Amino acid sequence: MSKQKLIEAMFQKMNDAVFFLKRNEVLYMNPKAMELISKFEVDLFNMPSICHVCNGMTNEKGYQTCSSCFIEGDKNLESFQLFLAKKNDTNSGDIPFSGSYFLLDELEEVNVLVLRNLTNQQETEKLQYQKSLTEYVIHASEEERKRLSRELHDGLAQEIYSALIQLQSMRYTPDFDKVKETASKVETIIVKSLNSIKSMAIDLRPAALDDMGLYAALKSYCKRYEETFGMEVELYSNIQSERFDGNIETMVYRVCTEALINAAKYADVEQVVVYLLAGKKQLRVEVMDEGVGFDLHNIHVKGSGLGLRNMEERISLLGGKVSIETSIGIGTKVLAVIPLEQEDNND
Amino acid sequence: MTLSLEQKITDLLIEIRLQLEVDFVGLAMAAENADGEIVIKWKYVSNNRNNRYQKIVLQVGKGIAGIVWKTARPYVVEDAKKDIQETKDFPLTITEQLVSMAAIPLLNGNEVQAVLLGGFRKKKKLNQEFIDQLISLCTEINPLLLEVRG
Repeated sequence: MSKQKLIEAMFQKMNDAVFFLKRNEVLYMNPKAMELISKFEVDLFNMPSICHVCNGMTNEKGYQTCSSCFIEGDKNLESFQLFLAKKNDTNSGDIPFSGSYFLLDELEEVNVLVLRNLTNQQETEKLQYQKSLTEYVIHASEEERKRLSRELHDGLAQEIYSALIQLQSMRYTPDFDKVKETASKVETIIVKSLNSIKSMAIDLRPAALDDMGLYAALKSYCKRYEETFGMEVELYSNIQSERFDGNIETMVYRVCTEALINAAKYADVEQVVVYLLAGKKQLRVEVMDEGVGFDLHNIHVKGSGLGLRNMEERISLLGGKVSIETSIGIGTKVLAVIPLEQEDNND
Repeated sequence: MTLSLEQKITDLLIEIRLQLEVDFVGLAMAAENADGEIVIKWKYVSNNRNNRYQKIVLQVGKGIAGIVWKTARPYVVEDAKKDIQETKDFPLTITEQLVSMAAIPLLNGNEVQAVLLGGFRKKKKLNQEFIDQLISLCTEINPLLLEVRG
């Protein structure tokens, strides 16, 4: 077989869709490309440009964006990701493709676009991601149990034990003044134990969250946070005693405290600002610091990065979105926006 | 000109820091919170990175100072990155970025009246000698502490 024939055969049989484009109009394509066009939202006779087909690509500007598109730039792109919509199917969402785009003939302005379906790969990635998230959640809950167990055993049990010893010694003390003295010691110990129990209960889930609502719970958390980490928190809010759905309150509280703890651990500043703003349609929480910031693409430097993912997961359960803006030396802003259900005026 | 008590203690801490060649020295003392409970706060420090230490309030039994307060025994952290799981219980290691540190109780009879901590921002081997040195250096602080309490 001649080289020419081999190349022709490859063009016909390859699993990647290949398009030859002249100023974004299709000159030739291979069978796989035809198949792709038959399955996806592409009108062959009415295709002014590949943009008609593409639903955005993945680059540094976003997951699915049209800004700084490969078509517009003159650059040759070895590999990038873009999205196509399936025909007659609005439910399954856009399908990811890996593409490469390069200039073949400068004079004739002929470009080649190669597309490869990435669905399987993405499914695998998704599964992997789910797995790591599950592992993270299991690990976190196990750590929490460990901490509680240690606190119960080393803290509370010890205190009660020492109160018990004191009480036993009282039994055999004839001297009334001594008994009084020991009784006051026991009292001190029990007051301390009581405080430990209270603070453990608050750590687990603040009663304020259920009784007084999100703002009150956050406010009292901020006070404890200041004493724990030596950070000053400025909490601004336009809600006072308004209540939201229980799930929303819990998730927002957790996400907010997680973001605050991250700030205390990594930002290396003395102050953090929290905005909690409720509108008619949405609830916004912002946690901002002017600390050291970090590289969003390389979070593994300081941690697993799964804490951030966990926040995203929690908020997305409520149909909301988390965005993190950070740059080294400038600071970090965590913003969560949660849609509030519209109140039904019909009843 | 006579130095105030605060200045005297701060000067002593600087001296201890230079002698031990540690990066940070802190002295924690008891205070009363709004509810009348005994809490522990870092009162005097030397070579601090920021002032977050001033806001930290430790319960007895929590944090390095809290543990030393409760047990009245020295407490050593060889490598904060490895040994400390719950950083929230050890805030000073975050705010001052300490890695290896030791803390000892300053006793008045059986009663702890302060906790002295010397720490490094890089990993160091801490042996008994280091702790002994810490103990011997802090003898000068004791009489001053009695003055603080009045």
